[in-house]
Amino acid sequence: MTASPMVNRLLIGLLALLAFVPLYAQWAGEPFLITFLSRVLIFALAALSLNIILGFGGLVSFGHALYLGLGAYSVGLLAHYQIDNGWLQLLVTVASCAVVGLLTGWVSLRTTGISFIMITLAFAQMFYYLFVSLKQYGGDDGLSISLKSDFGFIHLGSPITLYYAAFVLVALVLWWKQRMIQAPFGLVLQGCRMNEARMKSLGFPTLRYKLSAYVLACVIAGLAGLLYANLTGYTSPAYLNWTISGELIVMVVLGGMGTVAGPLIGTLVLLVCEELLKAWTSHWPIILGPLIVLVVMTARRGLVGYLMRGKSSP
Amino acid sequence: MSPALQTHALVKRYGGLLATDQVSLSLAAGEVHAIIGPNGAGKTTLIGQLSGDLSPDSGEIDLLGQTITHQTSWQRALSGLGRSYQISSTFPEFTVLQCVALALQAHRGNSFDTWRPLLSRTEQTTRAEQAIAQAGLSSRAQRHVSELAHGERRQLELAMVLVAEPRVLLLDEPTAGMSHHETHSVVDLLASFKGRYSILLVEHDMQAVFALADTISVLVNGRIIASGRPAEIRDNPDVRTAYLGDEELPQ
Amino acid sequence: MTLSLFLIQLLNGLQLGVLLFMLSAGLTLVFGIMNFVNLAHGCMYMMGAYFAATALAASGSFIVAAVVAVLGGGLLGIVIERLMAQHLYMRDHLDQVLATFGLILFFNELARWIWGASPVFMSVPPALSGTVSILGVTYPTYRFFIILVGLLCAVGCWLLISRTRVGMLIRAGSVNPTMVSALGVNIGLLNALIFSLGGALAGVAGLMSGPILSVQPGMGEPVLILVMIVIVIGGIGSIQGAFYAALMVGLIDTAGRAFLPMLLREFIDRSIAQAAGPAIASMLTCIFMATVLALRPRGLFPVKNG
Repeated sequence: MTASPMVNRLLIGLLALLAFVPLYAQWAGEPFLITFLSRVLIFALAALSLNIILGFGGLVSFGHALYLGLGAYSVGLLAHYQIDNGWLQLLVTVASCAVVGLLTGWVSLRTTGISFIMITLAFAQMFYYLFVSLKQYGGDDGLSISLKSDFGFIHLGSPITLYYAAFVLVALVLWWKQRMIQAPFGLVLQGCRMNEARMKSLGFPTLRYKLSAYVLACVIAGLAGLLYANLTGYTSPAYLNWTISGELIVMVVLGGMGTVAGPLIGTLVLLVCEELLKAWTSHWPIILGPLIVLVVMTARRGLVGYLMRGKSSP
Repeated sequence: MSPALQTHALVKRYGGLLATDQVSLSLAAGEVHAIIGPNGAGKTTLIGQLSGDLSPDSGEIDLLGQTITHQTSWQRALSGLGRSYQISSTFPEFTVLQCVALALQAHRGNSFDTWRPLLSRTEQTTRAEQAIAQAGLSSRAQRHVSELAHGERRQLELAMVLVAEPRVLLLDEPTAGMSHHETHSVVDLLASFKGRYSILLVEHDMQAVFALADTISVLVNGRIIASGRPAEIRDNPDVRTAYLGDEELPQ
Repeated sequence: MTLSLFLIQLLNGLQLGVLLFMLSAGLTLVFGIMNFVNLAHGCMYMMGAYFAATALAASGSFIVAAVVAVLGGGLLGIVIERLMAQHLYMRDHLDQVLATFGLILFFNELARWIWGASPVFMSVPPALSGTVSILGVTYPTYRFFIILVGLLCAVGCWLLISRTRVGMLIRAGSVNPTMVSALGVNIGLLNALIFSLGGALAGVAGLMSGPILSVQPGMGEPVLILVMIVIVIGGIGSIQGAFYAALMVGLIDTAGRAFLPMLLREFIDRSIAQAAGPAIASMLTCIFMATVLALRPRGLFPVKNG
């Protein structure tokens, strides 16, 4: 599970490139590039968080968009009441994601396999319907956000600031995961994925660790949601929809599960593909759908796995 | 001194099948107690109930004087019970060293450290390497489990259970699939543990059993039909009948 | 709250319940026997509804529409199984989730392309457009018809599972799939059969739903999630579990939506009840599921493993 030097170099190169995007975009007069890549970074952050439980832990959560939505609504609801203090919004994001994650995680992690997938999906939909039914907060139409998050020393109303906020978070999480993979917590998670019965018989209270990882992933996804609301200036139940959860899984798997860099690469590739397809035809899901099926049937370990084949042991 | 491990009338049913039938046995401290019996006798089911992987339908289990019948397997492991599996149960993507270090980590406080590599903990890594050496696997410590031969996986299985120095060992056919030479090493190793560890040993290899065991219990169709010193078991007519055609008891 | 209102909601709950059963029966078998996460089940329901609506508009006959829906659903099931599902049985659930997710994207857009984004209208057959009197209340004939069809399907499933050889193989397969194939049964044929049975049932559900719900792209997924809740509560692989769970979920969801806001208004400030009522009602089935799982993680009628 250790990344080969080549992949590490690729990752650093990619990060370096991404660091210079705003400068290039300003020089070339292409602000769309900043918006698009901000979106890539934000979803990469969410995908990285999903990878903690999916890649390391082997838990197929089909409801991860719930936490993206909670983060977005934390901003939206507070902004609705004229509260644009970023720190307060951050607190609400972290608290709501932690509590909801703890509760849904505790119920969901009592099951495995197909049940776990379905339950995480059901919980996310439950909150989807909850936000749809909150007519006073926009309901189905969503809530527009005119006041962006103000953290004092930075203000997420500026596209470039938002871009770098996302970039820094992605870089930090990437670094953290790189460490986590070899640290006790990461090894326990991977052990649980490979052979949970043995982990228990060795003396590990596995539920504790799976739940901790789950809550951690939820909170990080919430951060992505907070950034996303600032990017779009909008929040809606659609952010919690199962299609978003599905896309997050595609991003993780496409890039390569269990690898550190995978989610970033997967997100970039998927969103670029979507943009290209959207430009070509309005019926782009007809092509993307079968494309995903094809990728699943053929490339078993994702793009990073494909690059790493032969460089490390099986 | 109270027994290291004791069961009282353990019963386990699978539908109509009585896999464990009123099993009461006792493992004295520091001794090797072997469980033998024909295939399908229910040996692994019994071990499963002792380790906590399965729960009995009735009966009690005591470990080091404490009743553990309803404790989870991880609680029992932390109380000093170690179990090895008949079919090697390890972590395919890890290296041998990672597997053994992880096995030890369970007994070294919590594992919420998300930053420092496990293998940077020198005391633990050294101890893990010792256990790997004990199991005779030092030359393969850096190999991934998927690269190991069958006999080597059995050695890993043993290292993983020994590293935490559990007071009571449940060994389910530790020499299964090993060569003659490897079996000999394991028997010597287990013999060296007498007095320090208490071992409940399920085995098919009769030479190993008679070389190691202080007490032998014979399990047939889920029921213990005989229990006593090796010499008594060897001369027991019921045991010979049960084994007719299955095994040759050494003279 | 009058007795007649209560009875009407009871019947509505039954009607939703049998619809959920028709969808969950096939899916729980696919989950339980082939261990295959088929998220595309909602697509067969949606396509069944579209096939039925189109056939009805073209022929004017509900019977023709019914035949088209059943055959179309069944055929779609076989096609999905042979072309894609059979290659993924041995893969882990994640791959299956992704592949069927891809199918959902494809089918929803296909529907949008062929039939447009707006709901397609499907009329209630004239013979069933009146009302009937049941238990002293006046109830739409068509909805009562759905209840009858659903119960008929349930009986049919029961007969198939418990009285036929195929049913016996299915039951054996849900307890021990490897053993069944080791016994030399043509497992490929059995799997295709199960998929097409699920597809046919989904087609019937789509047909029945057409006149009372919106036939539009994406109609499958909200129902699918409710179906998955039913399956989890009932126990994966258990048709009996699916039946009871479907009725329970149907009743709870319907009663919750109908009565909870009313009930809340008795206890809390009207404006809060107005807002909270629908919100909590929509979460009721999930809360029910969470409660069941907290007590019985494997569902109410788990299939005992061999």
